[in-house]
Amino acid sequence: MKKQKSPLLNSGKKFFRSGRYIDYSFTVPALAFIAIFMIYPIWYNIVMSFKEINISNLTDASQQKFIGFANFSAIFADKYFWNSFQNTFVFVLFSLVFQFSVGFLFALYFNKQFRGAKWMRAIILIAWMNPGIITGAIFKWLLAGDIGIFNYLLMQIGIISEPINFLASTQTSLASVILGNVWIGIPFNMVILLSGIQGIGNELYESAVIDGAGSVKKFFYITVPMLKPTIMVLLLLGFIYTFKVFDIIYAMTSGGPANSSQILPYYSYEQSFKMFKFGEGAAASCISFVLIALLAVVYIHFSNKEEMEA
Amino acid sequence: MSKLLRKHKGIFQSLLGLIIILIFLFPIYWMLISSFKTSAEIFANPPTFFPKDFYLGNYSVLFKDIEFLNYFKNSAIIAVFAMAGSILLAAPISYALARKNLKGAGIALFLLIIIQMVPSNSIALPLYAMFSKWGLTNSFAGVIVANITSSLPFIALVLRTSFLAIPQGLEDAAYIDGCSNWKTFFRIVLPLTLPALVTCAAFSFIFAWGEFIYALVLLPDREYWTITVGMRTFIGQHGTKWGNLMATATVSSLPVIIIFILTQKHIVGGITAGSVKG
Repeated sequence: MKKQKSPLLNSGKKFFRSGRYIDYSFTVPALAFIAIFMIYPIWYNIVMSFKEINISNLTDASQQKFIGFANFSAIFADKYFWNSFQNTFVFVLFSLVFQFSVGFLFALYFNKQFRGAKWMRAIILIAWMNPGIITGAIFKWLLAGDIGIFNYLLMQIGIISEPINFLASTQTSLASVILGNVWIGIPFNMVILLSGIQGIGNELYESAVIDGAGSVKKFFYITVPMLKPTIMVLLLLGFIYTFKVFDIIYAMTSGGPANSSQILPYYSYEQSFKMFKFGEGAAASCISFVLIALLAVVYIHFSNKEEMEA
Repeated sequence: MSKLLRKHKGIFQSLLGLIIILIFLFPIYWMLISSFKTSAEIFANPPTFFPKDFYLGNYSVLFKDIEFLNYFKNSAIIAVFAMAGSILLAAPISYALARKNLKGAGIALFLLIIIQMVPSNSIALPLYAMFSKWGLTNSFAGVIVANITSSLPFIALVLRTSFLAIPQGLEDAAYIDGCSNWKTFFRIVLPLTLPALVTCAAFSFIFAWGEFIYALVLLPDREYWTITVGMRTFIGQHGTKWGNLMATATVSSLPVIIIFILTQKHIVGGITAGSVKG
């Protein structure tokens, strides 16, 4: 962070006379908002996860009994919880691998200085900006079983002999939502990697050329090592963003068929808003929250490191 | 031949780039094209990659659909207020974190970064419980507040980097002229960061426009539904009217695409500033 040159007035007496409190007043609206509408709900969610809450006592705290870890043991005993848990990691892993690798290829290609590279870089971002529910609807149409264009193209190329009902089969539904999510994530990965690549000084490459390095060598000995901090942060952010995906799954498969494409956020949504077991839904949210929080700490660690190295 | 290739290297690169873009954005193209097809043409085998005649029927159905128009209006109200709210809340704190030598600034920054990662579906349930108590479900106010939670931390981080870039002298001069701190902020500093403010406004509008889970949970009554919640009624399980659905998708994407085109120069930098550099 940038340090200001103005003298520090530390003493409490001087604080009000000097008007230092005005400096702090700038932070009040946002911090108050964050405290009331973000931190308090997180706390509230934790409290809910230890209570028996259903539709009849949701708004009346005096009717809610503390039941210890009963909500947690209930979801741990639920095979659909473990199913969604497993799906979450498959979903995140494959989404990350493909988003990142295709995003990296795009970044390398569109980093070249050819005509139109600039607007091409920008227009790709439409995939990332478009509302997830709309992207979900589009992919549902692309992958439709009978007349979807994917089936048509795959049959034309000869990969499959008859149409597959991608979204209605337990074997392909998870892969299908991963496909949709990868499409959304590629532009984000591209943009972040592109900014990292552009931050690498030209001198490094120039001296490598003098030493006789080819483009493959340049990639593995300069680009990748120099990008390492960016890559770490990007993968962590990707994990966190992918972990909370809800809307495209809702639009494409609603977690089905037979829960085959259900991931943790969806499970927690169903517990709360389909079955009205709010306590169990809160417990499931708590688990995703703990996982995210752990990763967030790792993220902070790496981004601090990056700032120091940069 | 190779000499020719070298001479026109740039053109070949542009051409390949264009092909990549066309393949990658094919889903968007397919949405657009399908929306102009009659239901007979939608089911045609082999499929047509360009509509035979531009059929506008899907759109005329849509624009006569009072419910759809209402969803569109609701989304617009929510997105505009969420945008204004997040800017008004984010600008002062990011200014203070960038320009004032505050104690605890590091902690506040850390808080913004961490809180940005909280999944919206983890907050949706407690917000629903709290807002049910306070009578804020089925109200735009509640869902606007929920939307601000998703964009506020991100915007604050983006704005901070642009406040860092303003020369200190300008504020000092205003201060000597007798402007109070907040006055300086609104009169001098904010106008200087107008491009960044516009970018952030674009971000928060786009986030709120596409937001789904808060609207789904906090707005049970149909009259308050947003376009994203309304969209799910168009995605029927069986016998989906694909032409209609794609026309709805196209119209609903339009605000995002227009705003994106208008601000795309700044948006790329904004994503990087809000995510990685934090």
